[in-house]
Amino acid sequence: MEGKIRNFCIIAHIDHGKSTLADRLLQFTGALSEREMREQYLDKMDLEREKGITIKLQPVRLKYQAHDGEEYILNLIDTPGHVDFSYEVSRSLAACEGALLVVDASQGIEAQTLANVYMAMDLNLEIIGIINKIDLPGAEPEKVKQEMEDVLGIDQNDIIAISAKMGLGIEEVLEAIVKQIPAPLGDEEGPLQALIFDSYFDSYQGAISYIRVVNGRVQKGDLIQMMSSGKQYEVSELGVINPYMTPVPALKAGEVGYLVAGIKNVVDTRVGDTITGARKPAPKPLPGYQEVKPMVYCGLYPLENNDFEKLRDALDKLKLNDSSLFYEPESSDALGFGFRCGFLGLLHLEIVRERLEREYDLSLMATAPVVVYRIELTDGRVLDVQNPTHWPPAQQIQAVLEPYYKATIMVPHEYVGTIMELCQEKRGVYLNMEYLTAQRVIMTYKLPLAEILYDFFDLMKSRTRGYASLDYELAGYEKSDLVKLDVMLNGETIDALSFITHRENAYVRARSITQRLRKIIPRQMYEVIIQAAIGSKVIARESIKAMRKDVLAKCYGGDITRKKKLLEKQKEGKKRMKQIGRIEVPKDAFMSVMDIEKN
Amino acid sequence: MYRRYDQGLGLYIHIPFCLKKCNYCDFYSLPVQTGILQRYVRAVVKELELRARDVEDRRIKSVYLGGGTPSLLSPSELSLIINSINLNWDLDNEAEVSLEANPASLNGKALEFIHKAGFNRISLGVQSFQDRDLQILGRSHSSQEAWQSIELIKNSGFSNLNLDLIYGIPGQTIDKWQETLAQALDARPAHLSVYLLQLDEEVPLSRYIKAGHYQLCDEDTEAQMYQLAIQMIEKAGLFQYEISNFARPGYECQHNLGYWKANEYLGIGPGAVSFQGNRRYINKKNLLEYLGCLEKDQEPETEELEFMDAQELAADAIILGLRLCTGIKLKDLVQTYGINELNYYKDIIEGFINQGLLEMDKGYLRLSRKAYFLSNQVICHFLPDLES
Repeated sequence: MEGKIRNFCIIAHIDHGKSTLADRLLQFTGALSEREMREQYLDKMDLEREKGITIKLQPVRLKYQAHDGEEYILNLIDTPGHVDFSYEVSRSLAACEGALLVVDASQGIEAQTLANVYMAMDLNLEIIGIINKIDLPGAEPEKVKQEMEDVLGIDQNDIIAISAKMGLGIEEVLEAIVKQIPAPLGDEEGPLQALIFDSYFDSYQGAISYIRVVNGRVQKGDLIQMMSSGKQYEVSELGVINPYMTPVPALKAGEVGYLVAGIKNVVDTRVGDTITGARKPAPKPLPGYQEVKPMVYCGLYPLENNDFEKLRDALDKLKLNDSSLFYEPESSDALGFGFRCGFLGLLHLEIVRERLEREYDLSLMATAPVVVYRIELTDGRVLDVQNPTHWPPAQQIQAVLEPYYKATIMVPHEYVGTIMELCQEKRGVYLNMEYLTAQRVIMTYKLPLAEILYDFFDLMKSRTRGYASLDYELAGYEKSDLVKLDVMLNGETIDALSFITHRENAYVRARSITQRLRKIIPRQMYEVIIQAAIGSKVIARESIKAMRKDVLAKCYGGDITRKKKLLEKQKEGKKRMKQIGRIEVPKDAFMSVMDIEKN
Repeated sequence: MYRRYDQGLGLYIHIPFCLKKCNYCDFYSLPVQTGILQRYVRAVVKELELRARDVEDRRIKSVYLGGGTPSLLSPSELSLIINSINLNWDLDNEAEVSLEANPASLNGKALEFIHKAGFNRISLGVQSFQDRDLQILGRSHSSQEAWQSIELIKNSGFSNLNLDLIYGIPGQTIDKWQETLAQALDARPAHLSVYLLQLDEEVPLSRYIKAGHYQLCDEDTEAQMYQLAIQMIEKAGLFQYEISNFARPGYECQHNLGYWKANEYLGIGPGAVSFQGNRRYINKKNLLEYLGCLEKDQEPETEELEFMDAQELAADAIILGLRLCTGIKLKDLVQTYGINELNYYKDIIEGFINQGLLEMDKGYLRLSRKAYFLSNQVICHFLPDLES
């Protein structure tokens, strides 16, 4: 087996065909029979299928009989395709010696792909350029090849043109993997160093880690140690995924597989951590481990107050599988008892919320996502605030800092002006601009994360007709003139609707939220006054006229049953409302602070 | 089962034929064809005979011929139906016997005959005194024909006349509605029903509205029209006794009161609904099957609508009873259904009393007047929870 292993991953933008290519590789190497073939095998979660994106990594081991007559073991490590999960991407890359860069023949390189390729290059991965979807009418393979050469220095002659959907060029890809990607190096005799690049929770076996053994070997019965925490476990099972979990007695340097060791919680098998032998530990861990910190917070509240415990159980269960999910109980005057939850980004938030509702049958209200603000108080203390309710009174605030991100935007050159204007609107600070090719420009701005979360991405997409792409990474905290905006319904402040905004945007935001609430909240038995205020100063006001009609004009013997069904529906509708004082507020209203006006 | 009354049954007879179906109508009705009416009446007579066998207490408190257009039947056909009721059932001497009539299908001679045959109440579908409104509604008569019909009915010995009116018709203004109301009151009817136009999604008028040809009135206008109706009608000496119904004292529609008091009733004819004990069911809406069954001396096929437990029956009684201006006697509820509704709904009732939408008076629970036009907001809370 010496020298016959190839560890690789696929880097691609959403929709550029990563999962389809992965499926073809499985099919071509016979890992899956036609019968077992299911579209996009590696994306196991329904949500992933629905959103067409990969969240979880599913490593798979393929056997390939190459043209040189040798049989190779190919370990494909799938990567998530969203900026929320860039740390996971970096750890997946670190487990490989090579990467397939898949670019859509009609779209060209996108900002996020570029960021991931740079990451792969930093990790010294061999990059194999692939142009996908050459069968589509809009395909411009020559232009895209040129771009890949200009931007990434990949020799045009080495780029493989394929159609994963049609199954064209798959064998060429496999040959390139064997020929171009180096076999893993590593000292099989040295102390164990295995990189955890993913883990998940299995209700029978506990936390299962996906590992890449870098040095040494691990076998069943070994006592192992997590280098970040020092916790020790005994290995109860090792195996490879081909694509079913198949136990093996040992995994050696260069190999990829799974490890079971009676670990109760995925928190103890953190992505990026190094597993070593407890008896002969490695002197230091593999580089690159980071503790993942949530960047975005929101409150999640059960619509039914007595579902609080059910929500707690559901979060506990999700957490088993998601070490980057953070939560702690909190309470709101308006919404009752719930949890303040922290996420890697908006997609992560959305996925968690949907899974809670779908898989755990909960009806939830979510408050608007917020970033973590750092507040310097007049008494010298520093406060991290991830809930607008905890915003201190103005007189106690010395300064407010907010997280800024370095945003990399790739855009056709005709949209440069548009992007500059947008970044300006969103309080962006210009950093750099570079022509990748004569047509494509890469622009770098420093932007407040709050603006990126609010509507930057949607505006960028709509104003560039979808052509701009975005990647971002934390750039640090900076001072900003921020204020807290309170929203009142009939004079009563609704804590769950408060939000933080830049002072200059306060009027616009106040108007937009009051108008939106006027549309979202149905007419009630009484007039409802909606106000937005900074401190005690009201800066926007709307009113919802009292309901005038809600009656069954006719109700006789013939259709009492039918009329009752109408009333039943109405009663059910009320259940989707949150009663705040005397006002019935639809549960989605609390997210409305974030909603963007759809033009 | 639940002996909630000792007043006999209401008998509803459906006549599912029309010259032309109105644009807003969602009842079961078919175009009238030669010979079909006679055949249909024979089937109804047969159903009256067969259904009587299943019922022990055959006292009939009220009869209502609705439709469709019952006034399409000839006086002799109507007599056949009355005779069959008398033959097979125990029709109370004082019973109210109503005939629904369309102004397009009445003549004086016939009316006199019908009156003699035992009908003592005519419900005339006038709907509006504006021809423009009638056209939008797809009515097959004019306002002038309505006037002629009213004269004929009055001259034929009927003292108990109801007029049906509709408001909220696309394009109708408050002023025009006021004119319609004034004319209706000029006719000095004993009873008035005023209905807000509420359309089933399937009816033609709904489609015209969806297509943008017409626009419904906004809810503020509708509410004003309702208030105007109450004001004018009460000024004319009729009093409101239900959300949409007004009568001179003693002329409340007994048959409909039966529905709102959750009394039992039998429905005869395809599409007619019956309520007996804890069961509500409907004769299948298929004329030919219906005729087929009865011509073979078999009872018509039915579909079950609801089987209710005590709590559901009580909820029904509340939802229906709150439509009445007198409301519901809570003590009766407790006695009839054996559960303490007052306790079960205590919080809901107290909440609405505090909001001024419900009132409690001498053991009766009722909607406050301002709650009538918002009554769904109140009554939907009395439905039993689905989960429980």
